[in-house]
Amino acid sequence: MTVYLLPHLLRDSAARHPERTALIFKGDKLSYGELESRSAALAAGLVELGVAPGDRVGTVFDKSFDALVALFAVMRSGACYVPIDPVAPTSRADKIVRNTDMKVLLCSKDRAPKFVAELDPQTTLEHVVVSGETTELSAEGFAVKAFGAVAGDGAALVEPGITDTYPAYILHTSGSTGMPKGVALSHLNALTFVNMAADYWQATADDVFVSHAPFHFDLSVFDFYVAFKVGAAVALLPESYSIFPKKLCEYIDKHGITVWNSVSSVLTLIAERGKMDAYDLGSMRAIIFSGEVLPLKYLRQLKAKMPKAGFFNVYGQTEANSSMCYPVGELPADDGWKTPIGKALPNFEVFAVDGEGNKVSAPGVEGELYVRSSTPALGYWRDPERTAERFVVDPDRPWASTRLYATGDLVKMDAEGNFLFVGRKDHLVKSRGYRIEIGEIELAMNAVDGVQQGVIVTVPDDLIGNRIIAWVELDGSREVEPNDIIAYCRERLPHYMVPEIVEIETPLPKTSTMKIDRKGLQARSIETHGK
Amino acid sequence: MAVADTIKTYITTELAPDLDASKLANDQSLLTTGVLDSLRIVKLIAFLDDEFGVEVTDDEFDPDNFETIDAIAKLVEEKKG
Repeated sequence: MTVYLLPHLLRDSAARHPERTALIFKGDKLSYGELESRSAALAAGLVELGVAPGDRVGTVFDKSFDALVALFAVMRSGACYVPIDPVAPTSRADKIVRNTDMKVLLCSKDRAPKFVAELDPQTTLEHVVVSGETTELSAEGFAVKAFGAVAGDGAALVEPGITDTYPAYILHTSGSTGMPKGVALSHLNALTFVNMAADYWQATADDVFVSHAPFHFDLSVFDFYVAFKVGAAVALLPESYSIFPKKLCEYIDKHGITVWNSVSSVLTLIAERGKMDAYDLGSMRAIIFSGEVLPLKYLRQLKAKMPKAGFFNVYGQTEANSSMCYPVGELPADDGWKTPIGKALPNFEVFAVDGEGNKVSAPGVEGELYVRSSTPALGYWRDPERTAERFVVDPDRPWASTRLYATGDLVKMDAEGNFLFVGRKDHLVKSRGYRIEIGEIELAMNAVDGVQQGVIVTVPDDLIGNRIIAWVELDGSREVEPNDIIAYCRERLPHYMVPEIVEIETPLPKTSTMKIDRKGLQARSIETHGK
Repeated sequence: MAVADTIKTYITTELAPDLDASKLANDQSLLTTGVLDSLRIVKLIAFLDDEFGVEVTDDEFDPDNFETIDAIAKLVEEKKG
């Protein structure tokens, strides 16, 4: 077999059954054949524009048919896609454009007016290609064209001309230096997971997958690649539905969703406020949740309403995809029980290493979790230092060039050999399913004029995992209000990283070693803002 | 103050202080622009109760009622009757 890449999943399913539905969005359907030919046409256009194998092409899309056309067109041209959060501040998009030396950016017509007007004209960007047949937009510094003006006729199948070791996509996550970290994943990295997942969850062409996660979030990889591998349909859930639990239940009922994949907090919302009794949720057969703990009382309610469904607590990171899974069985009576993150999925090996560098084999002993597979990413885009820190030499095969991913997560094993999540080795926290380097938020706050120093503490929350609370000491040079700091952060950080509450206290309490007393501040925050 | 103005002031001072009230139109989407997220909408609902004595039911908790400031104001006015 010649080289097999992610876009070939679509090519092959479209060849087998071009008439089957690939995508469902707001009452419309797009067939495999149509998705294939539209993305092929755009791919040809991108090659005409000068996109070459290995290039990075940005994508700014909400859920839409055009979004998938764009992602597949980019991969088919041999380039890798770099999804940008459509609601993130444009200054963050500029950083990503610079970080990846992007020349071409594909953008939905709804988001284009803002991005075209606000993107920095002084970067590597040469072309912004906007969905739709035509566009009226123009800018200094880069050309603006429409999909319709760029796309070829789609008759010629562009072959990417790369190997499966090339990056397929680069996902940016929070970085403590203030620059988002670009995690570069190859076609092989993704396919190792996708092929396994299709088997493990027994996906078939009769399934209807939901696409809940946005494209810049790695959970989205499961949704459409696994579905496309087996020729199933993917229902693209409009972003605004995810905060309205009743709407989610209505959506499951209406589309007969069979495979659900999301962060846990969305399922918590469904159980708590979704009015599950009013809808038929019986179509659900596999429910995959991750990112944070799903409280047992909600899991119990969900299981009762979706009796046919298997529930799977999945654990992973952007850097190595989902490596572990705990299939939920009988639930214990004690609501304080915490769902384990489970055991390694097929195609993965995981183990924990203690502080002395020895593999943990006994239950109850804490260690850092390592992942061994062909899924761990190529590395952090253009950051060899950080890549070397996290993608490490395999202690069992010191002679080999393959690397393990050191997750930075502390785990311990239970008596059945399931891993339990204990905490982090560093200052990384999870909120709304996203990983956040609190150093990145602190760096942003410290740049506010008048701020001496700010620290972030977290308050555990059932729904979103962690609430982000800031404590700030002022330098006295000018008056600063909490809202000034929040506004400054919102212009620079994605919404999930902006502190919810800012407390100003000068000076901040210190420990005996003159460090800021983070633990004390956290305790006070929990007292004031915890449930 | 009109209901819509009160809601706008709350959104631009408490929920999204980076937003300039003069630039937030009453018919502009709050949902597709990230102005309202899951946490903020919960706060907004608590505010509607405190300020107007309006309790949003699960049935009313729908994107149609929260898409814009106008939509929220309409919901409040209908419920105040």
